[in-house]
Amino acid sequence: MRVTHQTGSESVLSNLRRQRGQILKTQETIASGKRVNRASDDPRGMSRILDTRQLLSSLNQYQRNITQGELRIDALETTLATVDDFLARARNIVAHAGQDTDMQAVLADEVAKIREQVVQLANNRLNDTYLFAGNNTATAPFLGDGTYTGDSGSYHIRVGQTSEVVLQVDGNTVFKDTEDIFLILEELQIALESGDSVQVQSQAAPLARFQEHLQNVRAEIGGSRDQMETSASYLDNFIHKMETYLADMEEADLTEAVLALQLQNTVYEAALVAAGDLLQPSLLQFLR
Amino acid sequence: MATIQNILGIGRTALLAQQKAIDITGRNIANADTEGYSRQRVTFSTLDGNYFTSGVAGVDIERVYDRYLENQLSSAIQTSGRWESQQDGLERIEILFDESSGTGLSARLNAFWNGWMDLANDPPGQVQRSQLLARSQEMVSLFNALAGNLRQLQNDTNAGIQDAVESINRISGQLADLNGQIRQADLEGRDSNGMQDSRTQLLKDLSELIDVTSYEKADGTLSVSIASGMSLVENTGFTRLDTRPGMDPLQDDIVWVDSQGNTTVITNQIIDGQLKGQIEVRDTVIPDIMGRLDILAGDIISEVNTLHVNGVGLDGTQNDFFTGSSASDMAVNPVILNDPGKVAAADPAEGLPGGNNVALAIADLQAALTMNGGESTFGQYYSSLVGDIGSALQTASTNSLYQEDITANLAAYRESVSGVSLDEEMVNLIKYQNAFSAAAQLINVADEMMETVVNMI
Repeated sequence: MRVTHQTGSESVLSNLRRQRGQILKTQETIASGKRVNRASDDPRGMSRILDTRQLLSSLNQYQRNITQGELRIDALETTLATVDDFLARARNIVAHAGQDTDMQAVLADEVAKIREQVVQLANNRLNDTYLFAGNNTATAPFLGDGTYTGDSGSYHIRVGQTSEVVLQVDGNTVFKDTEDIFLILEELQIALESGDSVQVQSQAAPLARFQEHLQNVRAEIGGSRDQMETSASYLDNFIHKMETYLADMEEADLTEAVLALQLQNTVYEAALVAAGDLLQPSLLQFLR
Repeated sequence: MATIQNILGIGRTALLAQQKAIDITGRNIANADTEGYSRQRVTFSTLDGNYFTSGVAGVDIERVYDRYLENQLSSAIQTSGRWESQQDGLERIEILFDESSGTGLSARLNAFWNGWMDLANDPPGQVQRSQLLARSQEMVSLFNALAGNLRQLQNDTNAGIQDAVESINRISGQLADLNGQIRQADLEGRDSNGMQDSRTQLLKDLSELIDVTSYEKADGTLSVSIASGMSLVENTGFTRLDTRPGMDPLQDDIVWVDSQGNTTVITNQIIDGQLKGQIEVRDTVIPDIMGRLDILAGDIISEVNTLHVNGVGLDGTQNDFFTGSSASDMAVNPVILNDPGKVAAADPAEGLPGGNNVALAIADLQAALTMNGGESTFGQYYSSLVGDIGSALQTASTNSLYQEDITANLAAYRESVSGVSLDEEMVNLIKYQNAFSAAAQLINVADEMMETVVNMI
């Protein structure tokens, strides 16, 4: 085959161009740290990367849901524990009311205060929403006389694609349904004021039943917290696995890329030297 | 009997012949880098005449050229042009669907769905409502921008097709002119090698744009026709191609205009060259992507609206969340934009403002198999669109690279046949120069001989 000087320079040029192109690509990989910088680098890989990012995005959202839910559970637990403390005091008053008849007016006063406190606690808020109002979260669920104005809405916390934690903590269920604590306290106060010790003692049983009910509610809430913590650690684990998977698909092996770059640079330099040797000589240099 | 005059005559033919050969060598050297130039070669033949005319015959200049190779090269250039312009279009589309930095549509879809989940966690929250609307706006504006940019790209490609058609007409005209000049030169016995090279080069330029077939007729003119057999260049005349508005204002038809001015639509008969690549991008690639983007946007609009219009806002009103039905006209309902309280988180059976069933149901759409007849989610539908764009570009790049290799190989073959080798020309130059000196010496000797004879008198 006849090889003209143009054949030589064309092939030198196209080889150098191709080599430069590869070096540029490798440099992009190293600079971005990513194996897939655009869809055409690995089309199927890009689809999988996007699907995985979507999954990760919803997993992270579930974690945010759990954080929100835990905040609510903390508020519920603290509130109900305080209610419990006040009720212990009320039971104490019932137990000792008979011993000290002079004190009954003072005790009646204290029971009134306890009742007031429990109403206030039942009207507790978290971020402007009433905790025990069902879905009617914008208005205080309990009036001063213990009337419930909320509804029976429950609170749902999505902790996975198909699993959720449900908190049924509307005011009616917690404070009135089993035993109406406001009614009990009101009757206790009236009995103390009128010095009717039989009436006072008759409040002991409903009070105990209510406290037992409250324990159950708190236990249920505690159970929800366990459920969320389990979900959270499952999510942590899953997110970690998915992130590793994503990194495997998306991220470049730097060692490999740097080695490739070095090799490509060497080849490029060799090609340049060869090009110099190929393009330089011509018969012209040897004539005369 | 050889006379001294005869020797002088031989010397004269030799001088002229070698001078001509050096002239041709010079022309080759001068055109060593001229694209499409075919090297020329002189062939000498002995002149066996009578007493008075012998020596070397008038040199014949031959253009070293392989017609079959040139045809192969043309067809390789056509296919190369097709894939290159497809690659070009797809690269511009790929940039639109850039997801590498995590700010593409995929990320914005995720943010949109998560916005509903955040709202479900705190339905009355003004911050959550405003944030949801902001995220919806971001998603909608990207849908709008993608649709607009695709449309713009289609417009640009259409303009590119108009330019290509103009270029084809210009080249056809030049080919017809050259046909005339070459035929004239041949008739007058002038050398037409340079013009033939120009014509071959123009044919290659034409092949890059559109698939053509050509043959050289006995009178030296070149007939060129496009694939469907319609003539483009015949003798010294040519037929114009033109564009005219098609069904879609951004998809002009390409027409062949005959001498009576009748037009024939040939858009679908073009099967190769840059024009084909551009037609594919304009009529197949972009409408396909646009269609899928519209389906995605349309389905998100209808699925979200169906749930949302049955829910209630904080003020108890029921509204659509989105307006529009495609990627280009999608928008967040302005009624809701003006009053975030109208975002419906609750269904009518629930209490307000804490009800969140609708917000949850909309958030659940993210994982719902709503697309492809219940086989994929919105997100998967989109990621497979991005994947398809990527693999279309990969195919076009691979084909383009492959065609480039083939073209380069053929060009190297062509170069090896028709290209100028400077080494060879230098050798020739020395050879002809020596022969020229020798011929001059011959004349010197004849002159001395003549002098000797004259002095004898």
